Amino acid sequence: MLIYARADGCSTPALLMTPEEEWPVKMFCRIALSTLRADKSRERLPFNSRTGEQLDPATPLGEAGFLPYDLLELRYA
Amino acid sequence: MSNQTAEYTRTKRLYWEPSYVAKEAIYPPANYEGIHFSDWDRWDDPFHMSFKQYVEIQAKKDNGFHPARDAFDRYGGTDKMDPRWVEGMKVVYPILFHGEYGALRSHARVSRYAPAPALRAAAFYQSIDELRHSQNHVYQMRMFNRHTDGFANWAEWKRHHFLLQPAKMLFEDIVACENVFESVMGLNILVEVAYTNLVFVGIPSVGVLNGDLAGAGEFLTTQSDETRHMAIGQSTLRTLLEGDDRNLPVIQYWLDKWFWLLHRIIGCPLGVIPDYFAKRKALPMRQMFQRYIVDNYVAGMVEDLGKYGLQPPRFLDDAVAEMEDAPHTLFRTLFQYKHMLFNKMFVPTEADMEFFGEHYPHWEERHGAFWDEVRAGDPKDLPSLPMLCQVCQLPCVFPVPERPTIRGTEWGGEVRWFCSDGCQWIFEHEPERYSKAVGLDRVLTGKDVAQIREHMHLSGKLGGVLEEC
Repeated sequence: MLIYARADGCSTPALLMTPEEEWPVKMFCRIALSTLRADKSRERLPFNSRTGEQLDPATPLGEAGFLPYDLLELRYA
Repeated sequence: MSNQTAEYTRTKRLYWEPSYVAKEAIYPPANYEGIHFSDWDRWDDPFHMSFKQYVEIQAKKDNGFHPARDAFDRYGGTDKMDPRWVEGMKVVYPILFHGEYGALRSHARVSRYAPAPALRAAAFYQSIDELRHSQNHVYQMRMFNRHTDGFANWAEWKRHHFLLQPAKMLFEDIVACENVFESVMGLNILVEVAYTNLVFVGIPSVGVLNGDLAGAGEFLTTQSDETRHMAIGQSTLRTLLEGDDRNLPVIQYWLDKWFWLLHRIIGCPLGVIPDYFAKRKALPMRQMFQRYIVDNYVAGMVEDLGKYGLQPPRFLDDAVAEMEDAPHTLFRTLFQYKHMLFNKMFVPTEADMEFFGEHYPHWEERHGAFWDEVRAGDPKDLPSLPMLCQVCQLPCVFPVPERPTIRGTEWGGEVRWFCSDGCQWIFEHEPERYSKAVGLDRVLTGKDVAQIREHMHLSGKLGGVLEEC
């Protein structure tokens, strides 16, 4: 899959990543936070930036309704 | 009638009514569709110049400039320039070349297809001007190249490096305008009237403080032609607004669109030069923008043409608000990609931060923490390119990376992203035109840093940190 990820409060711009479809949202979020070099001390929740929908952490990425090049935003809780 | 006017009139009349083919076949109306005007002969060029006069004037300019630059270099001027300034010029000159060469191509097309004979003649002269400017920028790069790295492969970087893609996009877009009057609007009204004073007057005034006398001379000889280019734009704009009320909405759209594109692709990135790459500073970019763009350009144009219904550019307020952060946001984003650049970056000094604190009230709050972390040992290098805006090709990091105004649109089964309301608005008006670009972040997905450097034709030790600053 091709998905951008960004995190609130992080100085890193949104980066394009290539996760597997079967990865749960939660697993991708953990990897994305590391790649983005985000401060992990504050809790963040995953959203589909285009639809504004909050994502279930257990849902596989392939079933989360993403279009190619969608943006997963990790917003402050 | 004076000799000059007589010569001009004769030159201007070097066209004829065709008898063997329809005039529309020679100057197809598709090239000026949507523009209404009854008598193209009424369009006039205020400079009334013959080709002979043109060549004599330009030869004098080049005969003055080139020996001065050679002497500057021969007596060690290039080596005495501030090292930071030289790093900034590594970015500026390839962008300028993009602009001038694009303008050459654009006006070659205007001089072929414009329906007004005088506009064709004026565009022909401008096209040759732009070739002279392009060549002079290359001469400058050749001079620098004898003293430092980072200039040698500019032609490849112009094609492949992510840093130069926004300017490439902008000027290819101007060249590709179907309507020649949109080219004139984008180039002559926005690039020339709005931005050349900022680029060719504002920037060299800071360059001189940092030892760049050759650049000041080169920019001055360039700007000496811009007065004529501005006149082409202003004359065209006034003629079309006076000529037919139906032209106003078309012209207003072009003004709104090209103002935003120029602000984003030239105005924002240019700010890193006076604010960062200039060790000895003069006016901060924010004040330059206010003086040259808001006070001189917008206020002057509205005062002059407001009576025809022309309004200030749609995204003017957004542009003004952004100048509080744009140079700082772009500089630190570039710092995060210093391992993928052909110039060197550096950490702002105490003196820089004092200047920012004085001229940018929110600098410490919005940008200070980033540099504190860098000073604490975090290099901030990133592994892949940032999300690039579908329209301007700049990173989607505005106004600040911590809370960017990213906008998205579904198009063609995938999502296109924009850095701002302005870029999204442009895309939504012309989606076919602006959906074709594919950002380098997408092209280079999954590549590591070494592969990205290879794609961008970066060899050896290019990029990194400038220690002496």
